[in-house]
Amino acid sequence: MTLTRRTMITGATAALTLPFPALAADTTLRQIPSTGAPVPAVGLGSWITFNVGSDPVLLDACAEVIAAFAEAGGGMIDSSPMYGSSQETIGYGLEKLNYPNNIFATDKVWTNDAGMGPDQISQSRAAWGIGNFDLLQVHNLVEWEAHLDTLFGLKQDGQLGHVGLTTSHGRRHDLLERLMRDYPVDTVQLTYNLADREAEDRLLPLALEKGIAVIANRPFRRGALPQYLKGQPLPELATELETESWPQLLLKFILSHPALTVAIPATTQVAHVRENKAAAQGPIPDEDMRRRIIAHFENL
Amino acid sequence: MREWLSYELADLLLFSERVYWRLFTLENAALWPMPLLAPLAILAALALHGRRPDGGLRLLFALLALSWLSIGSNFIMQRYAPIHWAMSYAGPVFFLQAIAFAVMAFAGPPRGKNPLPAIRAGYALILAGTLGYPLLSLLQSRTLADAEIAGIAPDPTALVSLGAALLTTGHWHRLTACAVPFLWLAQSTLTLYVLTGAAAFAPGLGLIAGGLALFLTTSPRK
Repeated sequence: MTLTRRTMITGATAALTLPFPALAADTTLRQIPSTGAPVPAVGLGSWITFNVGSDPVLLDACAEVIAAFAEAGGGMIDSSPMYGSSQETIGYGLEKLNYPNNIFATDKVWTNDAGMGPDQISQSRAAWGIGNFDLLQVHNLVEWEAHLDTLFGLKQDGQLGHVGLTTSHGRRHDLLERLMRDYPVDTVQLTYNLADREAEDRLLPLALEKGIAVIANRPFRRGALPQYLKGQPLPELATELETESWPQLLLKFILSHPALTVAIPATTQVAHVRENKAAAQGPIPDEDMRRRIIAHFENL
Repeated sequence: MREWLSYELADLLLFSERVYWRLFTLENAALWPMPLLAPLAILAALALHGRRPDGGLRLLFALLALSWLSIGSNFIMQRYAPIHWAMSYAGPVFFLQAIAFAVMAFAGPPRGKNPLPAIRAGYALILAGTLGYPLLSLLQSRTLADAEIAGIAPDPTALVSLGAALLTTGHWHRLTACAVPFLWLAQSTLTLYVLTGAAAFAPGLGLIAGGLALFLTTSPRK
């Protein structure tokens, strides 16, 4: 690969050797248990929100979101080849920022053709404009056996920081559990929020036991949860938690599970990025508070 | 298989309503003044059809051939496909429909008298596609900048194509003119239903009206 400015930016190696210099004093940092790599608790998803094609106005709007995210501490930006033009949008935003060093570049491999995995990863790198990823995951466990081979190989060669598995909407939890037991994956990504807590039964305890980082996707159920809760009273303990909005409480609830490492809400608005980032600051619910939040939510 | 059955239609749409309507804003701006000229050309073909049915229909088929080709290469492949992977498969289908209309324009319509109700229904659909469809953006609290315009955007062009199918006679000619437009309007209805709900009304109504008109005015084979 020709060495250019684009290929010299953050990647897996950079993430491990340059441990988020801008975040040194950030109390919201979590760690990937298997490597100790630091990562801020609130990341940034890109499902739907960054799929804007070549629209210059919307590309700039997304770049502003990415800029606000980097300014607020950065961390995990997650995408997938499945998400339309989201990868290119992220690449556009990062290039405008001259590739900040506090981004934990996270993507997926998603193809039914096992042999196409490496090519797809190369295309994803090109779309982001980066050399290596901090984390690559097998998207929805598609062709997991072949893709895990590829990803572990890249990690061994120093071209990838971490290897992960993803699922969403509560699908394929049995298979995910088996793979968590049988393979030395660094992360799992699954749907976890106040309304979708199925992962609490087996997957989250298993992640704790095996030292696997957990990434929570769909923290707001694609906006449906805040919409449903709009106008509903916050529980009394929200004051204790220094929280004034449902979205922040929803994130605090997710991040309060001891197995959880990162939540990755997606948004198109700079104000929401800042609000989401702020959710990781201040008190986090303890076990009793978690029970009270669940009871309050279920009584609405 | 059970895994795929667990997906809902919304899971397959990976873009937002805002992004969808912006596609038309950009396309109209990029092709200006074609958004003004394309509907006028279709209306001119319709006017010619009133005087010389064969010549008018040939001109309409030729315009539709150009429209399907242009929409397939510009709107579908350049704008829609980057945000919706399924559209990369739709592009070639648009090119096939363009070829079909080009052949029909070259060969001319088959001989045979078309019943007056079919002609009236055909005119109604063509007028709805050229004059009515652009105004929907205003009814939906959008602006004319992102209006869907016949010859530029796929939905009104599909509606005009159904109208053209009604103006021709013969089972094969009608089928060739309407099959892809029907499929397109069906997918568009589903897409807009998931994206916005209310906006699905237009392609859905076009689909039903066109289907009924074609069914009622196509005589059974003897």
